[in-house]
Amino acid sequence: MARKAREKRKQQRSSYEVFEHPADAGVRGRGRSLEEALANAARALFALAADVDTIRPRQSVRIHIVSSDLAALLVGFLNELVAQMDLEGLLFCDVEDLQVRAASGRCSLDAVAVGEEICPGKHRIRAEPKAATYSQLLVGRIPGGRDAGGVWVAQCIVDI
Amino acid sequence: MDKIPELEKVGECVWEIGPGYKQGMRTRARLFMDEDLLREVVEKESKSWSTIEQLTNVACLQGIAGPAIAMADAHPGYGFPIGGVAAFQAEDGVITMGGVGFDSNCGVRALATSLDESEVRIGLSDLMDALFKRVPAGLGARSLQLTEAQEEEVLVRGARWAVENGYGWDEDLRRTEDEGCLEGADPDRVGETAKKRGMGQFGTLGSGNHYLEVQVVGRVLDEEFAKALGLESGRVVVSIHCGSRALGHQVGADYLKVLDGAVKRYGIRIPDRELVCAPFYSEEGQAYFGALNCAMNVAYANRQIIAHRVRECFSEVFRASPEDLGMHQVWDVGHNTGKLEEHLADGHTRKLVVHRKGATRAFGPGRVELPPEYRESGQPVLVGGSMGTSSFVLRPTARAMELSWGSAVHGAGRSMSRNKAKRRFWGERLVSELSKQGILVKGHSMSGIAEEAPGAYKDVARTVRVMECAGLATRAVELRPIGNIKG
Repeated sequence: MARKAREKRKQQRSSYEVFEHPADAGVRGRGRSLEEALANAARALFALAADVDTIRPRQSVRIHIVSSDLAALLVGFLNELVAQMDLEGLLFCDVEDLQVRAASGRCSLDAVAVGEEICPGKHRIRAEPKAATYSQLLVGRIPGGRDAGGVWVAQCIVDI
Repeated sequence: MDKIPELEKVGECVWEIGPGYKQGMRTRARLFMDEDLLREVVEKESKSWSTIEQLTNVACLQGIAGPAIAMADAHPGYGFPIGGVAAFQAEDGVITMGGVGFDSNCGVRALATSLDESEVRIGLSDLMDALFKRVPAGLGARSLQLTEAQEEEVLVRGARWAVENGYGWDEDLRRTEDEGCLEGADPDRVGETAKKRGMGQFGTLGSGNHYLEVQVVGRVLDEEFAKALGLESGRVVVSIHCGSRALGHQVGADYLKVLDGAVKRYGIRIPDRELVCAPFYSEEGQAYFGALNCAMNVAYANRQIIAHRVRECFSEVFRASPEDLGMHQVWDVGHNTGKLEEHLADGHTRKLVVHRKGATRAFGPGRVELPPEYRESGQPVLVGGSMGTSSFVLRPTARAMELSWGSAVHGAGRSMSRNKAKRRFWGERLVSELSKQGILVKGHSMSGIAEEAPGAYKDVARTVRVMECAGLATRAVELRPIGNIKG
């Protein structure tokens, strides 16, 4: 079971990255679908905060966000994750069951974030994300990947 | 410099870019830099991470008064560049979260002592252990647990609440900007998530570039001003750098969304979505201002509580009361702020919403906002160095009021991304190297220490020299570190 989980994480790692910024850090998720890209952007956020290999999926938190557009949905989603980590005293390592609904100028996102209580001795903590910003904000499809339509990307800068 | 034909030198260490540089610019951009700092900004930064692009975007905002300003330590941020200053007419200008940042009223407080370096060196290891234990820092750190009612009091009364409840001395408030409490704080404008997040964090240092540093007064370049501040060569000082913690971050996140809606509602054109804003006197503008004042009050209270803990630690280690140790406050400044101030603009006194993002207020002689002991000299400007380098206290000039709305640098400014710093520097090795230089560093995250390596920052001595060159402020006192706690 642990080996399967490690392999899953290894696969996921190719789909997200924390990228350079002069003062803060960027998070970027890619995927074949919008949902996959958003989930991977969240995984990048978790990797920014701590080494996710040191975090076990022992607790879960439901996330629900509404927004006026997909780009703001990403920022709202990441900020809700930051808030929940702080409120619950958790570090997240993964996100599951992410669904996006969009209609008539309104978007909503539902997901489950999983992780465990912060333990500084056990978890390799890297940074304390303050908030996701609208800087370098992109949620959309860009050329590349296996699909003719391109690959979904979700990214923004996170203040740390 | 040829890359920007609109760039013109208008004074010693003062440059301007005319409004012809970019469509939509309502005013010029002004940079306080020497040639080398300017060359780094103009020639080495990419278009996607550009101080110039961010600064000239600010120059496009509605109701801007005077130029959009970048200080000597400016580097790309989000929205405003870090080290950016801009003022907007209160009546028809905007307030923008991008000009304040998420860590509202991040700032520095300095406490003097009557101890000299040799006395503190004897107990330095014990002192650093005590500070590390008594001032919670890092991700997940918790401190005072207040009730909801107490928290509301802090939002409204800031550092005053802390002093009234036994954390510090009455005189601390006189030597804090805004006396540690901004009027116009409206707790009803702060969301429940922000309040819940703030609840257990009063008196915590945070992480990233926040620190608590034990310093020694080195060179005194302005004896008269140093005397007024209570600083003497060889004496020990403590500087505390932190802000409004999670409550401030959440206020920023909440109002990023609100102001995003306001931009659409009022049809405001902005060149960068991170510059979301609202007319200052609009419903959204006043809501953000009310919440922002709460967050800034939280930062004042936070530094007040930490200062109290610092006094307790010194008292414990050196076995004397803080009063007998001469632990008077020098000053407390914010450097991520949005404040309503009165300034002379175009020959008239105007109410301006002055945004300083990674820039310190530097009110010169004669300002009524200053306590009597600083009214003749101007307020001290506390400029933090990077870990292992000196910090400075500057004395502002009357000219700073004319050129920069009474603003100066806040530090050195980053010259290297955090990722690059972590690849180049190793936390444990840095701690060892600094220890050999006589600087004891304790941190909660070695990765965090690597990110804050001195090599990741510009030279603070250069950025403060630019302040002198441009006529904004003069160097008064240099403070060199002997101990540092990193979050």
